[in-house]
This record gives sequence, structure tokens and C-alpha cells, in this order.
Amino acid sequence: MRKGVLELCILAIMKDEEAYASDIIRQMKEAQLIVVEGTLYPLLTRLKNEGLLDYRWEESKSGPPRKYYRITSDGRKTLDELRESWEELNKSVLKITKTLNK
Amino acid sequence: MKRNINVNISGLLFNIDEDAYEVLQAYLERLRMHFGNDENAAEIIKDIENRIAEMMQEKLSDSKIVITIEDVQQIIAAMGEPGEFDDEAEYAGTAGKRNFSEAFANNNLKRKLYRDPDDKVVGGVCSGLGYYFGISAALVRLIFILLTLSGMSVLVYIILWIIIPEAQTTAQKLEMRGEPVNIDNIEKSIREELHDLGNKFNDFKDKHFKKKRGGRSVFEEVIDTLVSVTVAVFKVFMGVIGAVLAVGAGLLIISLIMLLLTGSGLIIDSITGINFAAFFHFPDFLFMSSYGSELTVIGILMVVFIPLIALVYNGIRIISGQKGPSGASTTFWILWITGILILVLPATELAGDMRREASVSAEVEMSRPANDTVYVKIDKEYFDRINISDEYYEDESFVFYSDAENFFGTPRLRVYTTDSTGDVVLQVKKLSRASSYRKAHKLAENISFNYRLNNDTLVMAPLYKVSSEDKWRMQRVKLYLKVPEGVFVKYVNIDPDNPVLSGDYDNLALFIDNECEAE
Repeated sequence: MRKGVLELCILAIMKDEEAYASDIIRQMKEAQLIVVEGTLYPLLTRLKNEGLLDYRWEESKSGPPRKYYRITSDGRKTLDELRESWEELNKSVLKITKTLNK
Repeated sequence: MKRNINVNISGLLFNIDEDAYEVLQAYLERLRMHFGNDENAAEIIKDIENRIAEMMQEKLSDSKIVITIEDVQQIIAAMGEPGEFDDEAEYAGTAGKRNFSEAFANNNLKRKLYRDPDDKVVGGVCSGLGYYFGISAALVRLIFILLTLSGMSVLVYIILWIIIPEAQTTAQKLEMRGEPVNIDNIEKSIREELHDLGNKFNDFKDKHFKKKRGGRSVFEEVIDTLVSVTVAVFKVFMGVIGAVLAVGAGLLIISLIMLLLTGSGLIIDSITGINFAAFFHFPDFLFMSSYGSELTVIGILMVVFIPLIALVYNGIRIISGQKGPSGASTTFWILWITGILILVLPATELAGDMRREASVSAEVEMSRPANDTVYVKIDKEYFDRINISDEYYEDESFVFYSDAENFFGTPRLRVYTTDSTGDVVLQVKKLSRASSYRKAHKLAENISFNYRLNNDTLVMAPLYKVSSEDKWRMQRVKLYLKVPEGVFVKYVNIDPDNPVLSGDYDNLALFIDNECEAE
């Protein structure tokens, strides 16, 4: 069931501005969506290869050059689809779980 | 003193303790193993190395120039073990899958039954069924049209229309389409379910027993497998139960409807030997009020059919894996109880009309026959003079025939031997019930029963007749034939041991209690 959730969040984080892997990791850790950083790299690579993300290199003063990712127009489309699916799923889950409170 | 090594990570040079280097080396090796068969392995590992280099950079300061084993351990903890990536992203084996809907469709290879709103002629039932069984909607429609000629599919369609939900969301539509159901996919879906279950079980164990990953004992494997197999067997079992429920109850509904419409049921008729069409007709002979019989029929139909429809509904629900609307079972219960309540009114009316019993008796005497034998003969020509329908209801003590204005019952004959040496006595007792004694008496008098006693023979009609207007108030006719000692009773055209008349009315029984003790 979690399939697609992380992808949705990654795309959502990059909706308005480009982001560096550490930024994404930080936000997702804050939201407690991921625990270990390693989770993110395969996902980012996959999204990039699917044409949903694009990246550029940027030199860093304190370390190796960084990949800055940004969302593509395909990525935006997928983001909308995923968000729609998520809302449906969320609705469905709420419908069932709200009975637990009774 | 520790040896340290220079390493180049992502173009940056680090001083690193030898033991730290070994740990790091082993970690990178695990990553390579993990992503080994992934086309993006090199790129992913490069990204991770970049990040490791960056984190190392952050650990260093002017006063700290060497990476220690603690640093490496912290970095690895932050980055995570390859096994943990999978748990978080469910990455392995699903590369390329990024869409909920695709993930859905892939996870649930068994398709779900929905009505298709995008391709419908009436309610989208046929195209939904088409997807479900992997055949073209046109073919399903054709089958339905052919079945319509036999009269059943309209009702089936309406039932399906009601119980199958419409595919409204994209996810539901994908679930509906699914993949074609074939052996490969069935096997695949079972495997996936087992795998899923295994994962869940592992998660559970990790959570509650803090087991180390990768350190699974044989015992755990066995438990895993046992649980998986049990669950799989249970699911198959539930599926079979669902199918049996749906198909069995469906057939019962169809045959009930057929026998109600045509009077000749397929299944029940052959099992019970009872013609239900007459039973269906029977309430007309019960109630004085016009609504009584209608309420009875409606009530009985509800009480009988609603549980069957509920069975079909639940059967389909189990097979399709749908939860169904939450109010469904409540609705069934309410309808069923309503059916029972509907029956209360006619039942009360009927009970009132059956309160009192009265009887009318007549006695005929005949002198002792010359050869000491009394013949009992059924007037079979009686059947030629009446026009009874083929409809009848029969049980051990009651036979019910009807024509347009009357219904008929079978008289009961009892033969007694008396101590007297005098006459042969025939007592004919007509009984009826009604709301009052007076009315019951009147109804008993209204019973028409023909018999003759002359010379040495009792000729009796095989049936007594009651006018439909009198209604059925348990009218009965009892004959008591009292013969003196030494006089025999001989049956001319009936076998007293097997009192069934042959001919057109094979099922007509004559109830004879022979050689009873005198009252």
C-alpha cells in the first residue's frame, strides 16, 4: 500500500522549487516518512530515469558536487495523478477507520 | 596507535582509520550486492557515495582530521542498511512501478467485480462481468439476451445491478480490468499474497521480538510457511464457500420463481412431490378479507426470498472480495423481519376464524347383510362429475383439490366391530371450525358429501366438497362404520393396506383406520 507514497511526497516537495537530496531527506525525515537516507537514492534515480525528474550538478564549497533535482512537466502530471489516487485511497481508508472510533 | 588510510571518495581525499575503512568497505560491498541486478546500480551507489563523502566532510574540523569507526557507524546508521531501503520503499522487484493504480492492479491480480460506467447499455453489468471473466462484453450481452428468451436473465440482471458496485474511481476501474485470469496469474497472485504475508509476519516479529534481520532460524521459516499456507487454504476455502452460497441460493431462487410462475418447479417439486402452485393458490381459500391472502403471499415471499438473496449477495461479496455497503446486512434483516410482521395480521385473523369447532352428525342403519359381508366401494365416477384442477396439495392427513368454486378433501373412514348382533350403523360426522360455534355449525352443514348405504354396500364419494366462499376452516368428514360381530368388511375397489386409488388420480389417498377398537 505504501507503494507510490514516497514518490508522491518526493514530487510534492519538488513541486515549486528544485531540491538537493539532503533537503528532500530532511523534509521526509521530519514528516517521519523515511528513517534511513539510503531509501531515497534509488527512488530519485528511478524517477529521473522515468523522466519525471531532471537534475543539474552544482559545485559545493564543503564537499563533492551536488545533484539538484527539479520536476519535469511529466512529473507534474504524475504528481497530479498520484495525488488524486492518494485522496481516493485516503477517503476509502477514512471511511473504514472512522468506524473504529465508534 | 592506529593505522590510517587515504581514500578517495567522490573526488575528495579522506584520512580514515583502518578499522573504519573496513566497515565502510563492507557496507559499500553490501550496497553493490543489493543493487547488483538493478540497471541503475552504478548511479545509485555513486549518489550514495557522494552523500557519504559529504557526511564525512561534516564530521571533520580543524581539530579532527581523521575519520574514525564511530563516524562511519553513524553515517551507515543514517544511510541505513540495504534491507531497510526495501522496507521503506518496497523497491525490490517493482522498479518502474510508481503509480498507486498500477501498484493496486499489480497487487491484486484477482480482479474485482464492478459495473463499468464507461461502457454500458443498461447498468454496465455485462461489461463488468466481461472484465471479470476476461471475455468480451458483447459476448456477455449476447448470453444475457439468449437467457432472456428463457425468461430468467432480467431478474438476474436486476439483482446483479443492485449488488455489484459501480467502478467510480480510476483505481476501481483498474481493479475491474485487472489482468486476464489464467493459471499463471492465479499462481502469481497466490505467491504475491504469500510473500506479502511473509513480510507482514516479519514486520510483526521485528516489532515485537526485535529479531535481527537476516538471522531467521529454521523454526521461523517453518512458522512463516505454515501461516502462509493456512491463510492461503483459508482464502481458497472461503472462495469455495462463497461460490457454493451464491450458486446454490441463486439456483434455489430461480427454481422457486419458476415453480411459482409455471406451477412446475425444477428442484423442489421433484424433491418434495408437492405442487407448490396449489400452495401458492391456497391463501385464497383461507381469508375472508381480501387483503389477507395478498399479505400472506407477500409475507411468505419475503420471508423465503430475502434470506436467499442475502446468501447470493454474500456469496458474491466473498468471491469478489468486495466489502459491500455497510448497511446491507441490516437492510436484509429489516426486510426479513418486515416479512414476518406482515404475516402477523393474516395469522391473527386466521387464528380468530379457527377458534371454535362444531360438528354435524347423521346416522344411517342397515340390517345385517345376508352373507355377513359389508362391501365398501368408492364411487370413482364422482371424478367425472366434477372438474377439479391438476393443482393439489397433499400431506398425510389432508388432500387439497380445487376447482373454480370449490375445494375438496378426503373423508376418513373408521371401521369398528361392535358387540351387538343387530344392524350395521354408519355415522357420518362433518366437522368445521369458525370464529363462533354457530358459524362453525353452519359451515359443517355446508359440507357436501355423497354416500349411499343399501343392501350390503356402502358407496361413498372419494371426496367431500366445500364451497370456496365458506373458506377453509378445517372442514373434515369422518365416517364411522360400525359392524356387528361376525360381519366382515370387504373393499371393492380399494386396497385397505395401500389405500391409493389408481387411474388419473394416483396420488389420492383414502384414509382408512381399519378394525379400530369401539369407542
